[in-house]
Amino acid sequence: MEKKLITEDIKDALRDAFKDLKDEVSVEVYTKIGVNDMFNDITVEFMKTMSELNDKIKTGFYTIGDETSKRRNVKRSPTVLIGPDKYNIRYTGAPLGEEGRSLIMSIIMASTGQTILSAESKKRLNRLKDKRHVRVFVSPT
Amino acid sequence: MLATSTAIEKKDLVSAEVIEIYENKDLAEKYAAMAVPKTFVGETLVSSGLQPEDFFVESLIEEKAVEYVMPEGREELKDYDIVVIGGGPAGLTAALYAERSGLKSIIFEKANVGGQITITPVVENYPGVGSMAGKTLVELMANQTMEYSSILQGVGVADVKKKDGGFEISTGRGIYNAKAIVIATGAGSKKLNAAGEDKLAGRGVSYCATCDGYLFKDGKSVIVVGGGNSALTDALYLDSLGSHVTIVHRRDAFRAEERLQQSVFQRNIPILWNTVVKEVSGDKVVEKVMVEDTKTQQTNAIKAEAVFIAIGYEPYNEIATKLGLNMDEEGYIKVDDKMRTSMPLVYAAGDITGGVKQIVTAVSQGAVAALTAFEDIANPYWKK
Repeated sequence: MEKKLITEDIKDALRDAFKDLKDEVSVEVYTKIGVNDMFNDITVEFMKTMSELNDKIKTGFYTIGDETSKRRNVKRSPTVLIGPDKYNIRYTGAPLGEEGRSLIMSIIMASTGQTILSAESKKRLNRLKDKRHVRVFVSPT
Repeated sequence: MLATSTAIEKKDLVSAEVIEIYENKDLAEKYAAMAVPKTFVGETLVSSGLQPEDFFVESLIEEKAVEYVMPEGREELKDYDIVVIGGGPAGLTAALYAERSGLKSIIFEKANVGGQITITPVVENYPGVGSMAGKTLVELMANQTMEYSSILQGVGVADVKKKDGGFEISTGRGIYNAKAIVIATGAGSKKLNAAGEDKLAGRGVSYCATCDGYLFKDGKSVIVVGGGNSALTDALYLDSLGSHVTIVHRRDAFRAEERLQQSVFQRNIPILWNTVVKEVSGDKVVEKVMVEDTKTQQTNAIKAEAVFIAIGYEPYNEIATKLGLNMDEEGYIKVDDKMRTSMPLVYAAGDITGGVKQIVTAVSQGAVAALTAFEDIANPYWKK
């Protein structure tokens, strides 16, 4: 099962993608037994593999209901937080399909501080003065 | 990734959450986000579908959906030989052929590049590629076109007017000028017009099984309405996900390809013949579907969590209507064998012209439209 989820070819590609990581990125995985178990397992496995591929990815595993989850206001299983001491980036649900790619890109962007936004968009963003919460609803297909 | 990018760029102001709907059905229901992708800023829906980067950033700042974005700092080229409206196979091919003929082109696609193919799980009748996922075929086509032309995805065309022997095109990015236009706006799913259909759209009523089917895998009861290729393809796809599928069809025989029919019969997918959907009901999401036997007029309630509607297409002919082009009784644009419409320098290609609606015919028409435009710009036939 594990080997099927992330093959050696994919691991090689990820090692390559992670080679330019700059700062350490903490990634916190929150789960609760009995809620979306299959997806919890996949998420835990996925993130364990990520941290094995590059030592700048620091993964922590927590149970929903524990002190850390309360501090981070995490209530849904599974949830993945990226760089939570610095950023507010949350994946609610397992990072399958396209979201796996998105999560990996987010880790890289959080580590390097370089995003996919164009210079034009960064300039445009300077007009933002108030807090915003963005929710993007997705499915693996 | 745009959302997380902004959360990194503006870490003190922006928080981003990516929510997987299958594992968080309550949230999907609350936000009517059972059809994805959907993007909210705060509690406001700003986009259904993929957004171009500048539109996303602008809607984040404004906290609302935006239809027009002013270019930031740089002036874009606004004069083209050919403006192509629609980024499906016909439009992509038209732009490719236009550029290769030496005509400067740009494509406006208001939703997603690829059009109807993006929601086709597998394409098996496009010569040369064997069996390929629709999305993959789109990527190949779009990449090839982008080597020559530009595609503005998520940018719609609001209006087209004749001006100085050419055309003035009002878009989400401002006014563009063109010598000729190719309309490749395609066709979209027809509605059932059943009671409750609009209210529960995105809450179990769907027109795209490939997009929204995953939420109803593993034993959920779903209904597929229709009897053509799309309906049977959807039914087979949902059946393979493990949904309990029932097909509702108003006639006593399918009009789909024989091979698809055989697959449906082999898998013993239940079929309600001579049956129409009268009402889709549910409190927050689809709970049941009222159907009527057209022979006996007997009604029956079926428990279902989703209704996938695949009863054919209707043309996206808003631009054609604004230009006053000749159309047939179903609203498809009338073209001659060179893809000319009733107005000089306006061409149409693909599903918007009606006909068999195949990828292979759409690309063919796109090529013909661009080559005719090339010919007509050089030698205006209507001035002879």
